[in-house]
Parts: sequence; structure tokens; C-alpha cells
Amino acid sequence: MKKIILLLCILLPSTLMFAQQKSVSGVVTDIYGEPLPGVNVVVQGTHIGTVTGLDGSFTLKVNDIKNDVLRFSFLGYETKLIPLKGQTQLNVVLKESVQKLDDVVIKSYGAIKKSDLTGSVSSVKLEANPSPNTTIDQLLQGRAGGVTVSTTSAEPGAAINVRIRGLNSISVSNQPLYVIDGIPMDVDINTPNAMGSPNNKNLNPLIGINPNDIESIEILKDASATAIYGSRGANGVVLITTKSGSRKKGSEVTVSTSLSLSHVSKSIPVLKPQQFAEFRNEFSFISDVASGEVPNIPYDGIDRPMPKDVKGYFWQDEILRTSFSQNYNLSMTGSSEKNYYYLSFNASLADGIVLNSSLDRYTFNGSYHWDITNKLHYDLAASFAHAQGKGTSTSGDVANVTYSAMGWMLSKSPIVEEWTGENEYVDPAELEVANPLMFVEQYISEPSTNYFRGKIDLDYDVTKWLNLEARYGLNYTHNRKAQYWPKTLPMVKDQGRAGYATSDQLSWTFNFLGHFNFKIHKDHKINGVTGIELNQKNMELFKARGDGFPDDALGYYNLEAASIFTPPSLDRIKSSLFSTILRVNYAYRSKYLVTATGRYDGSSRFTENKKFAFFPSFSVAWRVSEEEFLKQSKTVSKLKLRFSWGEAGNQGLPAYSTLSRYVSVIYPLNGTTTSGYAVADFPKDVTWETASQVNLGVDFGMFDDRIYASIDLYNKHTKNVLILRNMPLSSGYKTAWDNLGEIENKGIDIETNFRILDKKLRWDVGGNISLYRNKITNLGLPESSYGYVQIWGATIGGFNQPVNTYIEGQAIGQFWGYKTDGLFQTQEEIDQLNENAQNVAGVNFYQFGKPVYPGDIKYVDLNHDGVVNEMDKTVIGDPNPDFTYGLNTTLSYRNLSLDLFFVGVQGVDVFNANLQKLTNVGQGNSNVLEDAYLKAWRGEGTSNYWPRIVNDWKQNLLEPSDRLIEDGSFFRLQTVTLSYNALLRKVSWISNLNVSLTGVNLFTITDYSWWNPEANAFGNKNMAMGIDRNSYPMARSFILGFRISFK
Amino acid sequence: MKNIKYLLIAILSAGFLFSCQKDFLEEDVYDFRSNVNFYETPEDANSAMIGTYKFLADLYRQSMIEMLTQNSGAFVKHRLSTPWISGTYTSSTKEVAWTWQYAYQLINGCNDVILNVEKMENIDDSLRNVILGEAHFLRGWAYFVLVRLYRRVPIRLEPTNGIRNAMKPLSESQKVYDEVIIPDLKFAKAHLPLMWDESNKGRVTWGAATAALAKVYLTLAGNDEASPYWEMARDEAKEVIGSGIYALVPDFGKLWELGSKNTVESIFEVQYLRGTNTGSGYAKIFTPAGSRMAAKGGGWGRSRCTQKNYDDFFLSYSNDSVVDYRIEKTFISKYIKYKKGTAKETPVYPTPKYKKEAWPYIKKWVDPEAPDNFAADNNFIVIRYADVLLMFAEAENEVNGPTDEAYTAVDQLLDRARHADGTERTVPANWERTLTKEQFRDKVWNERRFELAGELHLWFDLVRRGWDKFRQFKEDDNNYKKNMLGLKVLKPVKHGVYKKNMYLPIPTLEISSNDSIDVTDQNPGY
Repeated sequence: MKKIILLLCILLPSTLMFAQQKSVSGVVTDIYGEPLPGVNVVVQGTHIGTVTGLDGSFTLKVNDIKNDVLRFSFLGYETKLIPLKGQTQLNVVLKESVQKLDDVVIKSYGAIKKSDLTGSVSSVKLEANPSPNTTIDQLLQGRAGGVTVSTTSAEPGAAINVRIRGLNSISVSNQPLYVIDGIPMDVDINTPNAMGSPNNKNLNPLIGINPNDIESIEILKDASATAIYGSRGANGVVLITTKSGSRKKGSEVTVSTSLSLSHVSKSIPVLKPQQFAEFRNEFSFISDVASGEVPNIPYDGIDRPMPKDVKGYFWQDEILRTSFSQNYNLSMTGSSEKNYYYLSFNASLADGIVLNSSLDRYTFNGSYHWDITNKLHYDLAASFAHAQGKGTSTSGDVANVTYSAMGWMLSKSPIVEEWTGENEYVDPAELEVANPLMFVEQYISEPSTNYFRGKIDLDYDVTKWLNLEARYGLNYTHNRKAQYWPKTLPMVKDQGRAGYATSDQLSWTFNFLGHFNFKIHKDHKINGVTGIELNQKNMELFKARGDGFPDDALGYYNLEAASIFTPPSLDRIKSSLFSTILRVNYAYRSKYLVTATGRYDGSSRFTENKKFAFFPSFSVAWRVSEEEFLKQSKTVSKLKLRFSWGEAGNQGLPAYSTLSRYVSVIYPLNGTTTSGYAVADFPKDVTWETASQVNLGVDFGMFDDRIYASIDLYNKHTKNVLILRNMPLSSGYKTAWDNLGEIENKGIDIETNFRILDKKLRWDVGGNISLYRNKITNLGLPESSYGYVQIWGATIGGFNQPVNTYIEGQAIGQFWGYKTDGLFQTQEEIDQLNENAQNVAGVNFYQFGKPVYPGDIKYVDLNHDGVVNEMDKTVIGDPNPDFTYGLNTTLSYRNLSLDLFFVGVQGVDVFNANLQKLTNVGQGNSNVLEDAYLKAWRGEGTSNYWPRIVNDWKQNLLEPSDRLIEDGSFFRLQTVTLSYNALLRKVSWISNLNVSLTGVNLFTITDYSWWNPEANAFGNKNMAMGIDRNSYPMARSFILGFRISFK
Repeated sequence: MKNIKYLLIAILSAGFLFSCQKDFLEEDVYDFRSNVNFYETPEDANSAMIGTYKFLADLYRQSMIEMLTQNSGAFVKHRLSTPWISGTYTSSTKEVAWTWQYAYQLINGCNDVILNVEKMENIDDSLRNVILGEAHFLRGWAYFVLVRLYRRVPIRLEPTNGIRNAMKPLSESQKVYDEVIIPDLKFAKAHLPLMWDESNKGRVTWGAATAALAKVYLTLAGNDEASPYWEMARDEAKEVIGSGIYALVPDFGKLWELGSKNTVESIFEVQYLRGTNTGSGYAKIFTPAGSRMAAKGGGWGRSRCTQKNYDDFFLSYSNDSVVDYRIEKTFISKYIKYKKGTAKETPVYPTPKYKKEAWPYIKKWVDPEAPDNFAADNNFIVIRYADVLLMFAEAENEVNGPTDEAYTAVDQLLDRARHADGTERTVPANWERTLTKEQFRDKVWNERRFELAGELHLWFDLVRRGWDKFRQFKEDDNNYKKNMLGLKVLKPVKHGVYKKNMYLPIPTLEISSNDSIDVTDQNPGY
């Protein structure tokens, strides 16, 4: 019907005016001379028009050959207007359109064009064909100024740390708020750990979102943009818009796939079997001599072979592999007069580079739009994802290496057949140790996630200026952690252990919003939104565990056959949020823009009198380039100045944290279970953390935006910082929530883009740099014995003390420990210290209560009290980077393009906790770094770094000290992609064909000695930060991608 | 017009929602009890008390075992040294912090019970007093453990209810004894029942409080012959003996059998049940690897008796043909070792065939079925009747010299040992009744070491007798050259002999988080 009308429109006038008509014909091509079929050619101001054929040619009749103007338009190309001026033959070249940054529309409680924004917002460049199992937070790394991303682990599906504009908080989450199509998504889901080991990894909560479905990602950074998210906006907001169909696009089916190969980027140099046998010999010799026994060397060529003949394993080669991953994506869009839709399916099957680790993900996504009437619109979106992991115990802060495949892989003796001779002494600790390969192969851990997201949206145009919208969205996540440790594993020898834990979370958000938009006269535009939001989160957590199984055949499915059960636990958590919002934008002649926002939030998580808070913001912008004096300028194409102030909150402490708590426990009276309630927490008076922020920004473009830059300066001030502070153990508690102190983050975000060439050869260079300085401005505590106002972070396994400290006047999370000064070389040196200590303190010299001997590590007696103890601790490093940056360059010629993407971090310290175990030559049965043994101190002057070998693992066990601090700066070629984009215009049913080859992490320039300088064993909280322990190795990958779209 | 109607509906519904928000923001509690819904009924009071015992189980489960055995000078850990043997533990050694933490959790739990049960209305006074008695006992006992280990500790007599008031300074040990331990135990003694019914067996009693008082006075008496505490200790011990509630279990071996719980000899016993969070760690720490005597195929054998300590016991009573029955039931001199499908008898000590397994293991706690390292079924007896008899003998000797009463108390133990499992033995013989006061003192002290071997008494017994005793004992063991088999003593690791080891350091975590305690408050030498 529609087509007939269109046809009539074209035909009718043409027949009427036949007499004066002249025919115009020509060919439309792109800049490479390829013909463009399907280009609309219309006579401006009329309905006369045609479409180019397969060879790009067209013919049409015009009425006024002198004055008519032809309009050539084609999706993806710049529209061109050509005055005929009497020509009858035209060859037209259309340029591909470059999306103007200003055209971006931000959808945060109503849509705003970026050009009308007064706040600071970054858009993220998305990759066309993301690698298998990418999560959306990974896409943010290096892509926007002010955003720092670090991976907690390179394991498939591992969580990512995303931080927007510095570290605002200490104990509560620093994650931004993720909002997907207007519905906030909860990422703080911690599925319980049924197994009882300290390793408690969760799948990345964003795993349920297929990056191929993402249309755009915008990052809201300043308070003007985030205040409308009120109590959850303090850490910034990541707005994710998913793809939907559109009337413009029509229908299209796209199939894409990518295949990738990954392998470990480097190996850690630990002792090889022969070296290890020599180490064993030397260790035994030294211990026997020390104990006055006749030296007895194990590898003597009699009981055991000589060291050179010893056979063994290099465990890293056994356990790390080249892995293969695949990704398949199918999507289709369609439209008709009143509705349009988008549907997609994705399957992503990724294997990790550690044997037996993998993650498979399947997602379905659909959205549907229906114009019920001209005024009433209906939107429905639903998405389902299933992710199924498989793995071993790898990352995490596990002091006991037998619980971590990575720690164990490195520290396990490379010689397995140890201590097995006749009637041999068996070290009991040794018996606990089987081998890491077996561990990796037999350990069963199968986490899974089912994720459902749904949304219904009805909006009604009440009047021209008022639109009412009701929206209900829900997120449902079911996580499962199922594990089985077979009877062969050391930590459950001869027993076996099964654990099963689930978390079910349903959160819903209801919005009722009124959008208004009107003009007063011609010059004053006012628009905005007001309404309410209700949000509720319900979570149920379950765990069950059994020990002692008859056999391993059924794994965790045999849970009911356990001989001993740990009492299962079932918890329920509910929290609610009620909010009213208002935002008003005012624009005068599109030159002066003003925005005011307020949100009033009530949260169930706080005590009665502290439930409510108001979050305001105010911002102005001046589009200087719209002023008459710049409008005509050829050089300056854009200039906009922005200023904003506002407040946003962080309610990120766990529900019920303010209540006292009595938990059910068991005390077995006379051999039978008797339950009682044990006091577990006391009531606390805590409230929101509030961040106020001032932002000053400038956006400018030159030469038609060929040079573009956006610079923001900000000062963010967090007060009432929520801290899970250490309690004196004598209080009966280890930690408690408290509002303590204030934190300041000052920084600069710069984003730039240069379009250096845009003819046949196109070259774009873009980059961003983020720089922040944070400082704890106030803690409100008395001075510590060190003369600082400070608190300490979380206790770290293996060290049994915190290694981060939070000091008033300094950046958060400073590393805290001892300074060292090489080794003790001579007894005279020690005698002198003894004499000095006798004079000063009346005791012999000691370090941490231990006497020292030549060849021991020399810690610095900072306070000159004659001995080395707690009082000699000081700041030994800073985990905050000087700056982070991303650099992107694209070079393309015709259908071929090369894209390089670099990321880097400069000036950051990492606490490499791995070194504690792997440099300790005092434990003769586990492996160490080559240098620690080969270069060990063996007499005066032989080494001033690597301590002596001694039969006492505690003697030189590293305390938190500068020996563990490494420079974590790096510069990495994150991805390099070569892609070929065939347009195939001659094949009518194919609209696009793309083949690409990507290399990930091809090189990293760094001084860091372990796998990944970004590794962070403690995830998203800042109570322990910048610590690398048992991290999953970083991979290098090659990805082959293929994408085809059908019309 | 139509539009205005919609607008009205919208505004009204928004208003309705707004009025609901108070309920909407109420914090609903589902899976724990809070101050708003607890301590309301007598059952609540009872379950709060039982819940508090869980902290007692935590205190004795693991952290003190190695620390107190190895640091006594009578135990080693095979060939490797440990900070406890070498005396090099520090304020950040985990057991130092754990023990402190568990004791204070117990104290906080007791304080919470005391505060709340005292002000409860809906409870009759007899039940109230019994529960208060239990809470006072456990609090007093926790402080007694703390003060002996750490010397000076913060006194807290109310539950923690805020962050600012949680910071308490260290108090001198005498103050802790006078103001907390003795009053608490006296209160407990006055209110606790003589016995509990079968289903409540394992809760503390009058006997526990009285025996604990005896132990407190004995500790306070120190090494001072003239101390008035000796008499007080003697009297409390005598009261326990005179009550007739307790007796020695006829067969010493039966005390240590799996499943033997709360016997007639038990006065204060910590209850464990096989399973995570409910079991104990004694079997794992003491028994040999591969022996199938503890979780996961065997123990760690971490605390093993030194040759001298074994020899002293053996040579006191046994001869070539007969061995003191208690030695058989206390030590593992040989065991079957399972490895890769083979089972092999492995001699330990004192067999002359030993090669490297030169130190006997303790076998008082064995649980092959335990699912995990600290999940065994063995209860731990903190005070048993034999201990009270020996405390009585020691105190009586200090007051009156070796009287008949004192000898009789010790004779009961020796007699029980001779009866063995029903088959009479000739050893251990009763002591000649001709000992001087000094000789009797020494023999009782040694008897405690033999009878109560491994039961965590030795370290306290050494320390309460003073630095000279502590030093001498460790040095004697270090200097022991030839064992009773005539072989050179295998001793790769020497005990560290440091005066600072008379106390543990105050944990780093306490110092760093307590504004009222400074690094300068640390015990000397750490």
C-alpha cells in the first residue's frame, strides 16, 4: 500500500508536467570509484526521485534544469546536494559519513543529545567483533578518559575492576553503577562458598550480557550527570544501550564468528628438577651440620640418583596450555509500519590457558517496539543468558598453596618421587602435597549463571510538551557454585568433599516518569523529567557441604552420600530504595545551557533516622562556537565550556550492617548437636557516603572536528566514608562498619581524536589519558604510635597482618611494611648491633623477636631503638598509578583497515605476595625462584640480596617489606586488528562481509616479574589493594573473525 | 480533558506510593535474630548461653595446641623447627592472634549474656542464676587463660556496643585476677549446679568452678613457699575431692577412647562433635602421617614428645619387663603406616631400630573418621579429677609438707595405672613415704607431666614455677646427650631458651586497632 502511494506520488506530477521535462542521468560511486547501488536521488523540494541501479546509474526527469537541486542520500554516507545548473550528465562521489560525536544521544531518565549536555560524559568505542567471552566491563579498558580498568584475574569469566575518576571509597564497592536500557543492574552478588576454603571467586556478574548486543556505552562521570542516580551514583554510571531494530534499517540478518588461540605470555623461572636436587642436597647438608649430625645428602648417586641424573617436571609446562575458543553470533532485525524488533543469539565457548578451565556462554536477546497509537508506544525487551564455567582453584588470596593451582604449580617440588625409599622418613607436610597437575585435572568446580533481564515500557504523549512513561524492569540472576574435591586431593585426603551453593537474586525497578519539553518564545527551551523510582532487591543464598564419600564417581551429585554434613545454611537478604527525581534543562538559543537535578532517596539499609538523603546538582555550559563571532570560523568548529557541581551517594554497604545479630550455632552437648545463638554483631549508627564533585570541562574541535579534544578537570570530595575498620580483637569482633573521614580525588581526563587523513587513505589517531591524585583528607582518629592518623587494611593470608594502610594526608592504600638493606654479611656486624641494642634497649639485637646470623635479611631499624620490630614499619609503596592511558590508531585504505590499540599504566607499585613463598629457601621441600637458590648467600660478600639457606622456614620468611614491592608500570599492545570489509554491492542479498585477524596482548613492556602487573587478588574493595597473589597467568591470543550480513 | 484525567490518576498513584514508602523501607530480618527479637523468653536466654559455648570450642580447637606443647620444651616437630620450638614467634604469628581473639569472643559472648539475662523479666531466678553462673565461669576462665598467656590484657565487662568505646587499655595481671577472675569464679561456684541432666551434660558445674579456683590460687602462689594462696588452692581442691561427685575412671585407657565423653573423671570438658565447625584438632596435630588415626589418612605429627621427656617417664616407673600402662596409652611407639596401598609397621621410639622417626607421638586423641583437619570427634578435658588430685597434693605439700593426705591423693593415680585395663601390673609403684618436702614437690611436678602429658598443662606448670624452672627444663632437654637406649639423642632442633617466652606478645592486630594500646605496651623482648 505504502509503496503504491509512493509510486503515485512520483508518477503523478511527472505525467502532468511532461512537456517541460528534461532528463538527467549519471553514476554514483564511492571515493574509490566503486558504484553505489540503492542511492536515493531526489529533486530537492519535490517528490520526484529515483534509486540508483546495481551499476550505480540513475536517470530521472527534472522540471527546471537550471535551478533544480538534486539530493543524493544513502545510509552510512554523507548526503550531498548538487545544483544542476543545466547539466544533464552527473558523476557523483559520496563520502562515507563520519559519526559526529555530538550526535550521540544519552539516555538517562530521558534522552539528551550530547551537544546539549552540561555534564561530563564519555562514549566508548566498541569493537565490531569482540573476542569470545568478552564482558562489557572489559570493553571499557583504555577507551575513555577517567576510567581505569584492571583485571582481577585473566581467568575466563573473572571479575574486572572498573573505577571512574579515582578511588572514592575504602571498604565499600568502587564499582560504577551499571544501567542497562534504563534499569540498574546489581553487580554485588556474592554466591556463598560451600567448600570452606578461603578461595571465593564469583563469576563476573556482567557475563550475562552479550557485547554483540550493545549499541553504545556511555560513561557518566561528573555529578551533573550522576546526581540523578542519587545514592548509587557516587562511583560514576555506565549507561549501556542495547541494540534494537529501527524503521530506518529495515531488516537484516547478521552472522558472525570468531575463533581464537591463546597461550601464556611468559613463564616464571623456578628451579628445574636437576637444580632442585642440588638445592635439596645443599639444604640437607646445611641442616645436618647445624644439628651436629653427620651430613647426609639425599641425591648421592646411591639411594637416589645424582642431581644431574634426576628426572622431573617443569610444572608450568604441564599445566598451562594453548587454548582454543569460539564465538558465534546471529542477529536479525526487522520492521514494519508500526513496529520493529531485534533478535539475537550468541554462543561463546572459551577455554582458559590453565588446563581444565573454561567458560561457555549462551545468550538470547530480543526487543520489540510497537506504536499502539500515534501517542501510545510500547517497548518490550527480554534477554536470557546461561553461562557455565569449569575450572580449578587458581586465583585469590590463599596462603596455603595446596588450595591454589597457580601457587602450587610454581612451588611444588619438580621431583615427585621424593621420600619414597625404603623405610624413609616422610615429612608429614610433604604427604599433604600430591601434585599440582593431578590437582588441576581432578578438581571439579562448575560455576554457572542463569540471567534474565526483562523490561516493559509504556509511554504516552499526553500533550505536545508532556510525555508520561511507566517502566518496569527486572533482573533475575541464579548463580550456582558446585564443587567436588576428589579423595585424591591433598586437602581432603581419602575423604572427598562436595559443596553446592546458590544465590538467587531478583531485583526490580519501577519508574513512573513525566518528560516535559517546551519552548517559551523561540529562544528559551525547557525540558526535563520528574517522577519516582522504586527499587527492591531480594536475595536468597544457600550452601550445603558434605565430607567423606564412598567414591568419586558421581562428583558433587553424590552429595547425599556424604558421611558427614556441615549444617547447610540459607540466608535471605532484602533491601529497598525509594526515590523521587527531578531534572530541568534550560537552553537559551542553544548557546547557554543550564541543568539542575535533584534526587531524594530513602534506603532500607540504614537506621531509622538516617534513611533519607537529598542529592542535588547544578551545571552550566556555554557553546561558544554557536556565538556569531565563531559560527563562521573555519578553524574552530566547536568550542564548549562546561561547569558543574553536585552530590551523589554510595550506599554500598551490605544490608543489615547496622543491626545487632545473633546467629545460629551448634555446641554439641554430650555428643549430640545442640543449637544456640551466638552474638555475631552489634548495632551501629552508619549512614551514606556522599561524594560532592566540581567539574570544569572544555570540548573543542578544529577544522571540521578533524582535531577534537575534550578536557575535564575535577575535584571530588567523599565524606562520611564507609569503612569496614578493624576492631580491636579484644572487642570480640574483627571488623565493624563506620563512617570515617573524607577522601579527595582531583584529576584530569583528556580525550582526543585526530583525523589525520580522510581521503582514500584514512588515518585516525585517538587517545585518552586519566590522571588522578587521591588523598585522605580527614580520618577523625587520634594519632597512631607511628605519628600518623591512620587505619589499616584487611589482614593478608601468609603475612597475617594488613599490608595496606590509610593515612590522613596521603593517597589511599599505601603499602605498609619494613625497609630492608641487603643482608648481614659478618658476625662482627651483628655483634656490633648486639652491643648497640644492649646500650639502647638492654637486650641483644633481634628482628621480630628472632636473633640474626650472617646471611640473613637485614631489615632497617628505622626508629633507632636498637631492635627491629613493629615500630620500624613505614610506607613502602603506593598502589595508585601516576596516570593511565589508552591509544588507538586506525589506518584504512579502501576495504582494508588496521587498528592498533595500546593501553598503559605508569608509576604504580605492586605488592607481589608470590615472592614470599617462592623466594623462601628455608623450606627444603618446595620450589623457589632460580635466583633465590643459585644466588643465595654462601659466605661474606657472595650475595647482598638473596639470603642464606637454613633449615628454618621462618628465619627469612619475608615480612611485608620493600623486597615485595615492584614497579607495575606497563605499556601493552592490547589489540591489533587487521580487517577486510567487502561491500559486495553486486550481490543483492549480502550487505556486508568482514574478515578480521586480531592479536591480543602481543607485547607488554614492563619491569614486573610476574604474569600480570594489573592482577589484584582482592577484587573490588580497597581494604587490600594492589596485591598480586596466585594470579591466573595472562594470555596472548590470536583471533580470526568473520562477519556477514544479509539483506 | 482526557489528558487531565490521566494526569490526575498519575499524581494520585504517585501520592499513594509515596505514603507507602515508610513500610517499603523497613528492614526485614529473615535469617538471624537481632536485638529487636531476642532475649525475650527463657528459651532465648538458654540458647544464648549455649551459643556462647561455641566460642569456648573455638578457643580450644586448634590455636593453643602446638603453641603450648612445643614451647614447653618437651615437644618437637620432627626435624623441622617451628617458631614455637625456637621461641621465635612474633606478635603477628597467627596462633598468637587467634587465641587472643577467641578468648575475647568468648568474653564478649559472656558479657552479652550477663547484661541481657540480668535485666530479663520473663525468667525465673533459679534459671537466671544458673545461666549467669555459667557466663561468669566462662568469662573468668577466658581471662585466666589470657592473663597467663599474655600477662597484661584489657578488661571488658560489658558487651561491645559501639566502636569508640571498644578501645580498652591493658590492665596488670593482678588486677585482672582480683577484679575479674576470682569474683567471676566465686560467683559461678555459688550459682552453678552440681550436675546437669544427661541432655545438658558438658555445661559447666560447681565442680568446674571450684577446681578452676584451685588452679587460679595455685597459679597465684607461683614459686613462693610462703604464699597464702597455697592454702586457698588446697582448700578448693579438697572441696572438689570431698564432694564425692568425681572419681578416677578405673581404666586410664578408657579416658582416651573415641566416644568417651564427660566421664566421672571429667570436671571441665570442651565438647566437640565430628564435623566442620563442631570438631577438634587434637588428633590431626598429634598423630603420625599415614597412620589413619586422623583426618585425611593421618595426622601431622606436629607435636612429638622429646626423647628426654619420654625417658623421664619411662625410667621413673617402668623396667625392662613391665611398662607403665599410662605410657602405653599416652604414646605411639610404633604404628602401621599406609602408603600407596601398602601397610607397614613403622617403629618410632624407644625401639633401637628407629632411624629417623625418633620421637614418640601422643595418642590420647585419635579419630580416623574425621572429615577435616579440625573436625574430629575428640572432646578436650581442660580439668580432670586426676589434675585436681595432683593440685591438692602439690598445695598440701606446700602448706603442711608431704602428709598422708598428699600421698594418698597421688597413690590413687598410681594405683589406677597399676590396675591398667583390669590386669594388675607391678608398676608404677607407690612412692616411698619418706620424701622430703622438696623431693615431694619435684615428684608431684613430674607426675603432672607424666599423667597429664600433652593435655596443655605443662607450659602453664613451668611458667607458674618461674623463669628458673622454665629455663632449666628447656636447657636440660637441649643438653640431653644419650638416651635410655644408650643411643645418641637425635635432636636436630634445639629449644629456644628466652625469658620473653614466659609470655606471648600482644597481637599486632590488637595494637594496631586499639587506640588505647601502644606499641610501647608490648611485652618485653617482642
